[in-house]
Amino acid sequence: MLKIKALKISISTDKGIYGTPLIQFNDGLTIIKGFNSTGKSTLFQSILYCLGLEELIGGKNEKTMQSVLKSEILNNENKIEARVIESNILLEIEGSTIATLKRYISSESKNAGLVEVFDGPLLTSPNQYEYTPMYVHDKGAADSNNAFGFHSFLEKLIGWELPNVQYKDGSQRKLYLQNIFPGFVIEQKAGWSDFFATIPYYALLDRETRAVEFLLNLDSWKIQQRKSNLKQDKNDLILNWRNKYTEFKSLAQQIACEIRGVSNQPEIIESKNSVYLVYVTEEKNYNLTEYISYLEYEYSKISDLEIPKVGDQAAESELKINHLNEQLSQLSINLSSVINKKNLTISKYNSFIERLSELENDKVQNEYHLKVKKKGADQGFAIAQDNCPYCSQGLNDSLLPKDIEIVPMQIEENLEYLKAQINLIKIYINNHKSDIDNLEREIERLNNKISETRSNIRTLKTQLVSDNRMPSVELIENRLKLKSKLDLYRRKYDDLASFQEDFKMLSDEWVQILGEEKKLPKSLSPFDHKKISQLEQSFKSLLVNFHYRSKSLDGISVSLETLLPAVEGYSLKFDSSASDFTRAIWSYALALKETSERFEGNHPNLFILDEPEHQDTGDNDFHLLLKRLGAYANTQSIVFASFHQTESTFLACTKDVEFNLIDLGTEKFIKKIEP
Amino acid sequence: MEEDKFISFTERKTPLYPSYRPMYKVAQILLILHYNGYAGKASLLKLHLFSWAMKSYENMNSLKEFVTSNYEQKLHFFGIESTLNRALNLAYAEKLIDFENGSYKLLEKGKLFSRQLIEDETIFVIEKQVLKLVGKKIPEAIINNLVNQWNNA
Repeated sequence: MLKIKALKISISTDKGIYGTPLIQFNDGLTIIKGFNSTGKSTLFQSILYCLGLEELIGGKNEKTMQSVLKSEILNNENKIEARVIESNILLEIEGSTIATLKRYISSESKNAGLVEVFDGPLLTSPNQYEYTPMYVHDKGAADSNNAFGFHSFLEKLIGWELPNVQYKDGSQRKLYLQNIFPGFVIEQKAGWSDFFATIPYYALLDRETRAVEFLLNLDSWKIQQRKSNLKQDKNDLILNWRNKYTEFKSLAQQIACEIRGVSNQPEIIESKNSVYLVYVTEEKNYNLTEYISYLEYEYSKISDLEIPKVGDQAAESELKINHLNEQLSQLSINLSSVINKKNLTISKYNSFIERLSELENDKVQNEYHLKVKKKGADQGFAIAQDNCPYCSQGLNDSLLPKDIEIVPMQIEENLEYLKAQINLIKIYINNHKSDIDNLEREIERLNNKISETRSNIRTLKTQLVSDNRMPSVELIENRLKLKSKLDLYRRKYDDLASFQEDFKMLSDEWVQILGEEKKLPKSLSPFDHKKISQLEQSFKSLLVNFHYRSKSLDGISVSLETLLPAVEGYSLKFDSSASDFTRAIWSYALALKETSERFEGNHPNLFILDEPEHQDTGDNDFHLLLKRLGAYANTQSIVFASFHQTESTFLACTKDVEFNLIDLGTEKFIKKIEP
Repeated sequence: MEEDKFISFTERKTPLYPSYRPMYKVAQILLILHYNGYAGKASLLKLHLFSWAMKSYENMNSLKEFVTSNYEQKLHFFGIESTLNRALNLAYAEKLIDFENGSYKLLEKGKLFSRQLIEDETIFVIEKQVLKLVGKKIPEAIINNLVNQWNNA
């Protein structure tokens, strides 16, 4: 809840003190009536300025305010009467407590970003209240950790707890007050041009929707939040999984094994043992335990052998060398052909990547076209509807000369076509990527094999040139090699167990995230649907009440996507006459409050409307609006209006309406205050 | 043996580059006139130059380099396409632009629409950045010089 209790403007000038008397606002409807240029807008702007919301009238700090508050005071003939030295506004408000705000517009000593907050009703019951200086528009002014941010004070006073929302740069920050107030504080110039027209630019995604979500206290933003958190968790997990997989892969490479049961993408792992390593040979695939026992067997075999003398083995060694040499040259040939294959695949892969970026570019441009065409159609351009503006013949959505007889795809079809192409290319790219990986592994294997063969040849050759009576080195060396290999595999076998556990744990987390994702409703909870349908219902009944005629009510709905009124998916604005659109803004603003009240939403039960009959809405319908506002219990409405500057209009519009009047009269309201 | 033989073709629709689409090109023309024309005015050649630049990011880069190098980096070539002329005709008929004294000019309706295009941050993202960067830094005289060089080459 937020109530405006009282307002006072004081201006020190070179000709003495000017200003307004104390203006008090009651609960319920207050009408501020006055001729043009008596100071209605100054009062309206003063309220916003004190609340630090002057961005709703387009700017920050004193720049937005009228010259009477910052440079000179004009008399009724619009001649300069006095020059402003210092000016300030006092505003008493009530929320969970009563506070009085003081903000300077023009001052030598006080910054315009400063709001002095008195903790009591300074205007209606003057006393020496304690005050705290606070700041608006400061970095951190909206940050609740900052005790001196005025807007976080105001947020608490209203009893709100503003949610964090996602900004366009991807960051999660608090929703600003300035984003919500345009739903019930409507300014005369821009305010009546669209729903929430005066939300300042905050690089926020779907700002109007966020504001409605908050006012109605929908679950959808919580769902949105949960979703983006889950997405974050998911990404973190994918990253962890990839890192783990890379470590695992390097382990596998160290012992020349291949990975089974897990890939570099998170997946569901049934049991730890489904992740394992295999050692691949031409004859047989061993899993790691099998291979270790095989090595143990080989080692025991070789340990039992008696070590022969070099001389006994000469002939046999020579045969072995020849055989190994043959093997070596075969391996080299294989290696070079595999390398060639890999290079070829890489160059194909690169050309696919290039094609992909072209296609994606094309897709972006096509999407631009789709949007631009829709915009053009909204404006009623013939070319956007595939008509030639000269001859009204079909244009085919193409600029190619007529004598080229092709039938171009329609843009939607074209987009689908591109998407299909992109998917195809992505499949090619993935295939090539895995081919490259396989080839690399093959190269690695061949290289290992080659160096092993070379080292064997070297050992045999050394042996051939040494003394015949020496023991054969070959067998000893083989024994040592086998022993160290066996040790390595045993050590790595222990590592494998910890990897298996880690993958199982990550997989369990993955399952949990997927499960939670399934459980979340799409975007709106069932309760949200109930609220929105209530909003739509009361919006429509208000439209009828205010005599909206531009469109049949059947086509009008509140969009579940944007939460704004729409006619068959388009904005109501394009299909309504100007006066009818104003009626729609009245209806929507009121419907938001009525719906929020019914479901205990966040609407502060406050309306501040500046010249709502600005458009040609007719006195009768304006009368109905005032009547509705006057009949609300527990809602404060402040309406600024000139009533076409005639008393008869005023009487007609306020007949049977319950209200309090503040009459500014026909002359300038800001006057010299006699001491 | 006499037998009737038929080969039948089914006409398939062809995909088309967006720059051959009327609304797309017209939107580009409006953006060019807005960002790069003096008082919303530009010659046909200038429009051709920028329209060529917006065809691909490569082209856009060449144009950017041409300007940032103070016209020293050679802009070897820019293309001229009849599709632009057709788009200009359409924009003229739609009363978005006017033609006077040899140059095209934004009309009120065109200005309004170009403002909508600029406000929408989801379209022509990079294009708008480059056009804005280049701004009015390519006077007609420089374009004429370029064309003269080609004529004399």
